[in-house]
Amino acid sequence: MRNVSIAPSGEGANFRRFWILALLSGVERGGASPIGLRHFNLMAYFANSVSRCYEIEPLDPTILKERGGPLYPQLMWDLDRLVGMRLVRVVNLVIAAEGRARHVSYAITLDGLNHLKLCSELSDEMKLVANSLTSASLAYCRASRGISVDSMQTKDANISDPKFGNGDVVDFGEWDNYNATANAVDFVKSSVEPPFEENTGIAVNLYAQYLAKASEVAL
Amino acid sequence: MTTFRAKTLGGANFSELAKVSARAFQFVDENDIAPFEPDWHEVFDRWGAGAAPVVQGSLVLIFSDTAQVIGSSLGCETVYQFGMKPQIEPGVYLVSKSATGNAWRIPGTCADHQENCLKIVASGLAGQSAVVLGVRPGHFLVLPAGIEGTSWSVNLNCLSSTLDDAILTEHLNVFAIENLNSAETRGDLWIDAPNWIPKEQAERTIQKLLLVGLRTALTKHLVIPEPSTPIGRLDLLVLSKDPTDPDRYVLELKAVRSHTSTGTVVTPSSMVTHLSDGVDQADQYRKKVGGKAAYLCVYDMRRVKGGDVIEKTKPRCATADVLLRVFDIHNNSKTARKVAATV
Repeated sequence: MRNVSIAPSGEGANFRRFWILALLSGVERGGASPIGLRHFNLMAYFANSVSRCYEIEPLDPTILKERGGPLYPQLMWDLDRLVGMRLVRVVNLVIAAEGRARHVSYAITLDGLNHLKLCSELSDEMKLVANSLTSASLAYCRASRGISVDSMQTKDANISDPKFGNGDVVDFGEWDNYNATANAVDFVKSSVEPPFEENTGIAVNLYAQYLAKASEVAL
Repeated sequence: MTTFRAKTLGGANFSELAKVSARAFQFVDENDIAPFEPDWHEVFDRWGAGAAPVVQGSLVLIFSDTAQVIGSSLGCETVYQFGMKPQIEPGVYLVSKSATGNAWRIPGTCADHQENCLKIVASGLAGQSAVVLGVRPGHFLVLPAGIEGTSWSVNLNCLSSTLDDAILTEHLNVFAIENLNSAETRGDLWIDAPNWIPKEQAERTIQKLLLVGLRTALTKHLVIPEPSTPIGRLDLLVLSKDPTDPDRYVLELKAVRSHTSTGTVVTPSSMVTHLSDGVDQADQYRKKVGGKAAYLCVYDMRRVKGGDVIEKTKPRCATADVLLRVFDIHNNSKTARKVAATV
């Protein structure tokens, strides 16, 4: 499949924005809209790391391991472009005294959903990518109350791998095909016992539950 | 189970991952047809059960995959982590199928159920699946086809979380009488009801509706559609949400009909064979999954009910220790009402 360029405009930008809309569609479906920026970045990493489980390429198979957790400046740029296009809307914007945004949340709009639907109908590949990302983000949202930067740093198979320290690039598909998070999802999937069946969506949900603190997730 | 070497799991905790895989029962497939996911049952219990329910007055939940989008267009207030709230104001809320999400409260809704229904219709949401709490004490009402369709009432104050033949049979009876014979369902089952010509997929439709019905009624149990076994797929499997409760119930569903969907007459011998296959399937699946009981649920869509077809199936069921349950499906409201009145 494809490696997507990080140019701010052009073909790569269009695919990234489609990718973001697919994620936000899952957030919408899970009733978790609007999603805050911190969780958006965690969710984007989650979706990238489990993409292989759905047999799609990750948008970005690397992440810089740092104390503040996964961060995707390029996606944040594209998210704001989607707001300008009215495919996403801003909610709960809090501006700090010095003028920068202290807190912001995002939610997909009706136009965004319609746009995603049209893009998904362009090809089977696009449909597979959209469905897979919606599934991954839905799984993340169900457990998001318990997922934090700390739980990701200490429990996620890729990021918590002791061979990576803060400041290192965690590579799970760029130059190195080894993806411990996808392996962990595969392990969960193969561990499910009858009468429950091996199902990627359910395995990804279970992995998200594993990432979350148990006390935060239960109703 | 595939053998995984610990080093392929990076920094993940192997034993925690193994433990979490035992909770597969918590999740249903994303394309599941039930109007809401099983995690909502705990919320309904918390809000509606007991002598002094939390919810006082009409609380209507409208389920949608685009609750936020619709809510923002209606000027709704967002209620974050709705399912976790200990107290809830009556009114109408847009929610997702999962209970972990937020809710959007439709403005102007209140504790009066009639007022809420009018608001729902005015908002263009009359056809969305809904659940109602606070109207019938100790119960929640499920309206799978929307606020103007059939409602199924579920008792939250069950004395026991265990399931036995009497309770399961009662639920199957209620489903057949109140839901399968409703005017709304009739349209899904018949091509030409006056001439007793059913739709080709009538049996499948019954299975789907029963899945939804049992899911909403059996709040302490899971109902799994078509789980696969080494010998094939059974129709419905019912098991407890409590992993220490080993009881499982196998349900095999068969519809008997006078005509095929093209109007061809169905012979009694082929009906007997159809049901005989059902007995064998129920028996074999029960043995394969370690079931406590196996049921053959027969949905009689013929003009003349009962008769030899059913009588010839009874001894076969007795021999195989399969519980036979027969439910009549009527082709018009008048007959259905008459029969319901005699029950």
